[in-house]
Amino acid sequence: MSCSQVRTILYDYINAYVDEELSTTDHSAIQKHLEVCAHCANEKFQIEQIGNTIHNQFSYSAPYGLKENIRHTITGLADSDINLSNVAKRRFAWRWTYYVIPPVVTAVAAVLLIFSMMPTQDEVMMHNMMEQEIVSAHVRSLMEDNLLHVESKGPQEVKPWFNNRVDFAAQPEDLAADGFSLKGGRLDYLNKHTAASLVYESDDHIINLFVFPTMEADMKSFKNFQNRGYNIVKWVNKGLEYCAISDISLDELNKFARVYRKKITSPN
Amino acid sequence: MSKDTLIQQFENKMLSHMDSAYNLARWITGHDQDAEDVVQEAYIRAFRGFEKYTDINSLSWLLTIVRNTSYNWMKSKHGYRHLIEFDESVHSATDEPGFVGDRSQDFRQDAILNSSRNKDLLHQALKEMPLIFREVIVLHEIEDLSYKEIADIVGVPVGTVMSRLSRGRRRLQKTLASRLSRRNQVEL
Ligand SMILES: [Zn+2]
Repeated sequence: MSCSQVRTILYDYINAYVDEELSTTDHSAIQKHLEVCAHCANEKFQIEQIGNTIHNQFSYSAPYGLKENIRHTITGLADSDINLSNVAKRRFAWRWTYYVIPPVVTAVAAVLLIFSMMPTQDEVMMHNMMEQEIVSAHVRSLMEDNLLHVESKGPQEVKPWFNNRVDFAAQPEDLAADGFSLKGGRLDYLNKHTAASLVYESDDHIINLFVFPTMEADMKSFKNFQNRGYNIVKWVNKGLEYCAISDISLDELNKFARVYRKKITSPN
Repeated sequence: MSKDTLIQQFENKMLSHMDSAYNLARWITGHDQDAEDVVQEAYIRAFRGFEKYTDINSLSWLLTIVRNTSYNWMKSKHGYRHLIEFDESVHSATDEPGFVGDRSQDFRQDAILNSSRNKDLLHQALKEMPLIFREVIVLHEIEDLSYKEIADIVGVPVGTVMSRLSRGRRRLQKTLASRLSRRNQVEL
């Protein structure tokens, strides 16, 4: 056994000694060694010191309000689970309610109410908040099997699915010719309203196109945002807000938005 | 179990560990907002499995869910390659055997961690450390979990926890030592 191998093993033992994970025999053997070897005693001291610093100073506490949010979510979840057992057949359609977070929604509603009374000044902040919501909804959709509530071979299957679930016209379109294939749809909750998400795929990248009612005026051109590494393209048309979000390039995403908007505005 | 009892029990057993849950998610993801989202998601998952849950150690159970949720989150946000990169950087020169004290003159007992700047260096070093080391260090040093508990959460044998912890600490010591000596040279 080489010197460095011996030292590695010894170092492991000193670690386990500090952590009190050694058998009694090993523990006292190491202890005896530490009494006579300044080198190892120094190692032990450093391990302890780093450990103490990490323990005392590097821990994060949950932010204020998170517990309350989760408590409400859980309560809502228990309620919706009861609903579920009553109407088991509609389980799939109800899945989005797992993610409705009452206190957040209430807070958002309250903030929106305040904003509606003082319009210009805080628009920026409201945009940020919506962006956060959209990014979170997007990331959430990518986790495990959250992406699709209805899978499709084409728009004719997705459209009727949405008709029963949202009170506006979600318009799934086939954009395969332009490189964006329609995977299906999902329900989300944005801007205190149920939102339809049309899910597209482009070269293995997912695009969520969120559609939900808005009071905002029509927009002639697209607005682009970047948030937490995602690109967002937004526009408003006839009382509906459209938000496309993805990790594809902004150019590609703008192209997607152009293609989609052209399709829904031009009569077939 | 009635709905109220269920919620009450969940509150006692699970919500009481929220700081630990947040701490782990925060150290894995590296961001406040991500950690909040992960903790929300993890608690939803925990609640769905709670009625069937029989585990005695509620903290380990919760942290296992938080860890899995964090990994899924990172995967969906940054792609799988991002996680792989952590693994690729695992075997590096800093893992070579040898005691830190052998080489560094600046890293003797009284010299370390006595100033807030040095603590910042340590914090930075831990933040930049590959995830597989970082998580065991956080679970052990901050949450005071035993090798066995960490082994259950991470899903590796106890011996692996021991060696990751040991190698992780050596990395921290070496990173700290080299940054301290670099800084001292600049100051001279
Ligand atoms: Zn020795």
